[in-house]
Amino acid sequence: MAMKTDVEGAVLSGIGVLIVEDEYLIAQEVAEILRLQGATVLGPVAEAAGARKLLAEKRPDCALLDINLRGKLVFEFAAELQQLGIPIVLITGYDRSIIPVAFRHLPSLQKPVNSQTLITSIRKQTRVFLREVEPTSPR
Amino acid sequence: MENFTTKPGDNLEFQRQLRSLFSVLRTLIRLTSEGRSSVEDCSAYLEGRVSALAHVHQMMARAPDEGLDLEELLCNELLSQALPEARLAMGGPRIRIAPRYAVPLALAFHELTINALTHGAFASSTGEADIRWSVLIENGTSWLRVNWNESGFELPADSLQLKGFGFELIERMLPYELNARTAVRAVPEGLRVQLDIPASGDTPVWRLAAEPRGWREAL
Repeated sequence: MAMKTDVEGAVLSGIGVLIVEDEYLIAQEVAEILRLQGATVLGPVAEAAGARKLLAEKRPDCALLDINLRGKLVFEFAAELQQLGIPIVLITGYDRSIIPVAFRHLPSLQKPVNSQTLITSIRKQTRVFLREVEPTSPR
Repeated sequence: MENFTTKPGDNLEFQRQLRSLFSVLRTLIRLTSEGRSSVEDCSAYLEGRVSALAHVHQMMARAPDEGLDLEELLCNELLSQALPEARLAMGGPRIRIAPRYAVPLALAFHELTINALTHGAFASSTGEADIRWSVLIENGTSWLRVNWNESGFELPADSLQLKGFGFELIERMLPYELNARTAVRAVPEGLRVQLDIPASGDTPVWRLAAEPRGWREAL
């Protein structure tokens, strides 16, 4: 269940997060958690093709990627995001060994996704952006 | 030590199914309890939904590679509710559903069945349900079309009762997970539901079965 878990309130305010996850209920739950923290959600979409369309319209500050989308691995799309300099958080349902070496440094969340871990990972990945936008905000 | 898994892929797919099952359960508990005033009402709906999940997982466990028979998937739901069979007709070609996509479909059939029992064809003494499926080709894509029609009763004007989880399943989850096109309409003589499901996205969703009728009896 999506709950407000961070006492600081909307800690992802102003952050755009692209969600690529093929399971509807998980996608909705994750989107709800992020919206409660003030994030703007792009998607969710179930496939990389849909995500590319969204990318053409708006650049997210971070992308949340399920590594297995309808039986297809997400890493080709993840490489495109890296080229664009968009930070990534992975969601996995499996053993981490399925993740290619080039992507092992990325934070990966185990399903079912813990809301606090999700929020913290996205905050870490978008830290640079936060500093630029809120240079005076105390941390 | 003996290895209990028979194929290397089995364990990963099993993990995926289990994880998915629990996220479905978690969400359906939340959505079932929303907007219901009595515990009895809530637990009755929940019990039905959990049973529907149990049935489809039993089918998935029985023949993981062959896929699930569409008619059996429908019958599982309809017959478990002891519907008056004389007022129920169904038919179509033999279709196999890929296990990965069977859960949302089974849940959708469950919601439609419960709706028929509580507000639709089987809530009145005269109503009838007719369920037909066929395969259409459109621009080179094969579509499975399921028409669920209820007639012979008057649907109260204000109550297209597929709200909450049932509504979300058919209107949102099937399009999202199966790329399905869905339509639920109340008409003067009853209810019309149409589900159009493409055969494949990245992985096959369904296929026409090659085996003759009666394979089920051989199991």
